[in-house]
Amino acid sequence: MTRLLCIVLGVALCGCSTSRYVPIRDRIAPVGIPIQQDTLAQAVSRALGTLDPTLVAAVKGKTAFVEVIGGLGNVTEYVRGVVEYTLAREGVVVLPTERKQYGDTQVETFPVEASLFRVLVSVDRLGSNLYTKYSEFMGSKSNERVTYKGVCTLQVLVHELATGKTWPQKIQGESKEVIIRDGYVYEYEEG
Amino acid sequence: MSRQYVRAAVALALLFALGCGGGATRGRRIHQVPYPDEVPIARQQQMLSEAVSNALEIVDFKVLAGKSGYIEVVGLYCADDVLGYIGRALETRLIGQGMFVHPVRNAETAYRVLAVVDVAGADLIDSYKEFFGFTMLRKGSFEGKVRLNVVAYPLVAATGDVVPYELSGKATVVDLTTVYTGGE
Repeated sequence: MTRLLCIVLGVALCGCSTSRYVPIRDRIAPVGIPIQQDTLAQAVSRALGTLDPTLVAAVKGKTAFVEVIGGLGNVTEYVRGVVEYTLAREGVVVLPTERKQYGDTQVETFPVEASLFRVLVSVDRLGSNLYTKYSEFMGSKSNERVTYKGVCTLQVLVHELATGKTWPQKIQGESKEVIIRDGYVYEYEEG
Repeated sequence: MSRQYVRAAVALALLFALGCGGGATRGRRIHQVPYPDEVPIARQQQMLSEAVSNALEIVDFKVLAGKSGYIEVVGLYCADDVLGYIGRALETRLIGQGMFVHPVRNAETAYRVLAVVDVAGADLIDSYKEFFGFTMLRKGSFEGKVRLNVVAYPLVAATGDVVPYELSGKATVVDLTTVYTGGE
């Protein structure tokens, strides 16, 4: 009987646990998905990493403003931020643009008078491509693999406003490729 | 009544008492449906705020103490609320280190502090072990992440230091049970 009591007590105590749950919904607030953002950020960063040092040296210590055009999906503001960060870190005095509201329209004004240089960036391509790769043998597919890769192509034109001299460069960058399985990014770890 | 029956009754009563509260604890689940969409979820916010706090931990702008500046934040597919939060967290840090931070650029601002947010959000992770094609120990989790580049520079050439930072932070991983976060 004592043994039975011990078993009953043991089972009862082992079954006790504290649980608190909080609901998570992905649409309650616009929570960003880092790995998706990262594919684009990496592509932009790697593209700007190939910027010609002579082009940056031409503007170093001088005043400049950055103008970004093109790009689908509302990326121009971010690209401008990254270009401004890259130049400012190298010692360029990047003057900020201003936004003014005229009725329903927002107009961007550039500090042309105060700047010696204009850095014009054209976003030719910025996004993530979804790739499906597979092997085909006698009509049947195998080894199917879905991947995401961020790609970026920018045309950068540094323009000296007083002399009209220009430094053009086309730059490209790609992110690391991430493998997708059932809607998840797949990270394989040995062990 | 025999002694065996009495002992069995005592054992059952003891088990009942344990189940009712003597040592047992109650689970709590918060239902999703009655919530209006506007109500934010504390745990979701915590994933972001923890990551931001960890990212900004190493920021040292003491060299700009006594200088005036303003902050500009841009991000990649980040909600305005998130960018606003990161901006305010950075501002708090700079003010704490002695910088005079103005809400917007004006004639007095000598410095521009530009923060470019590459990543801010939470990854949904499905982790498991695979053994001869069988998956086991499957676990869902959320991981808050933030990565940003910050540069503070004078708006007039050669009038001060340029201070760049590459920052990143992660929040505590939150385990998931279906659509609920796991126990705390």
